[in-house]
Amino acid sequence: MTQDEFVALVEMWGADIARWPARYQDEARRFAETGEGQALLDAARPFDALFSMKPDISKDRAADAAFAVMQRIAAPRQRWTDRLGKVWMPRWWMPAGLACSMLVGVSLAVLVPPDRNAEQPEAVIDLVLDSGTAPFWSAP
Amino acid sequence: MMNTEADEMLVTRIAARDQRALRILMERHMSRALRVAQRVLINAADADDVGQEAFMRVWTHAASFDPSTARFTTWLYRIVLNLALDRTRDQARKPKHQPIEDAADIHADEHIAEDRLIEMQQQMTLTKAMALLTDRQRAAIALFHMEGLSGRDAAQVMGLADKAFESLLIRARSALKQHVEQLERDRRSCA
Repeated sequence: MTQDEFVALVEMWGADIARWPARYQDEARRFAETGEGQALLDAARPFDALFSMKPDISKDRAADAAFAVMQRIAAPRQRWTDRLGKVWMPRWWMPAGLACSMLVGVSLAVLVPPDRNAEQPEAVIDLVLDSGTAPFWSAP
Repeated sequence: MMNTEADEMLVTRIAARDQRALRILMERHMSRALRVAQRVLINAADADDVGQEAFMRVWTHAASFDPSTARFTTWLYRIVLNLALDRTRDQARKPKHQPIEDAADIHADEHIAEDRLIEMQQQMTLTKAMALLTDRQRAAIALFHMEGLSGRDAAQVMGLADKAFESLLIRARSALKQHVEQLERDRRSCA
């Protein structure tokens, strides 16, 4: 291995020969035993140390991220129950219920004959409760 | 008790919707995912998003993982890297709001040991220099030098041939070295 080849490999892979591709390692180790080989490796080491500085990731930060993933996995279940709720109680149930009540009220007002004694509370109750059984054409 | 089950076995359990297996995998590898994402994206919040999304992909795509073709870590790195590179492409289309100089300023504190200050200064210089590289150069440095992957594994993660990765790595190292030296010169001239 020539010096130029060694320099090129140091520039590519850094000063740790053990991390170079296996096909270069034996020759490189032999060259590294020479004075110039050792000097080239020593010169490359400070930069290697700088390159290998890792961002500081705290345990709490990693744990928070993991927790957020578990929450996201749980979230679809919540949405599924929401959807189930909408099947049993759709949004339109309240206006539809009011409309039905009004319809029943108007129908009763139209279909049930007026009663002279309607001002009296008992008569009103009798009228409502008995109107289903009383024929509309019965004599007053 | 510490769980010693192999990562690949845990992925099989995740494919069967075992949340505990996912939790164990995240305990082992979330830091690694965040670290690689942060090296490529620079911004910590973006890195957190990518880390979370990567494990969501692990959860949803566990059944497609084939342990006979790659180790779990290789697969995870590839997911993280693809997500991070996608995000940098998205960000490139948007205007930048936060210059990197603002992100990592260090204020001298007499209570901080000198060694720690020097280390922080170096960390800041490296962060700024890394920001000046291309996304793929940053990824190559992060995988080979910071995560300690072999050249072949790093090439596999990046979807490159060995030779293409070698050429990317040497360009990345050379550019990073120049940027670091320039930043150091600038700092000394300001001091």
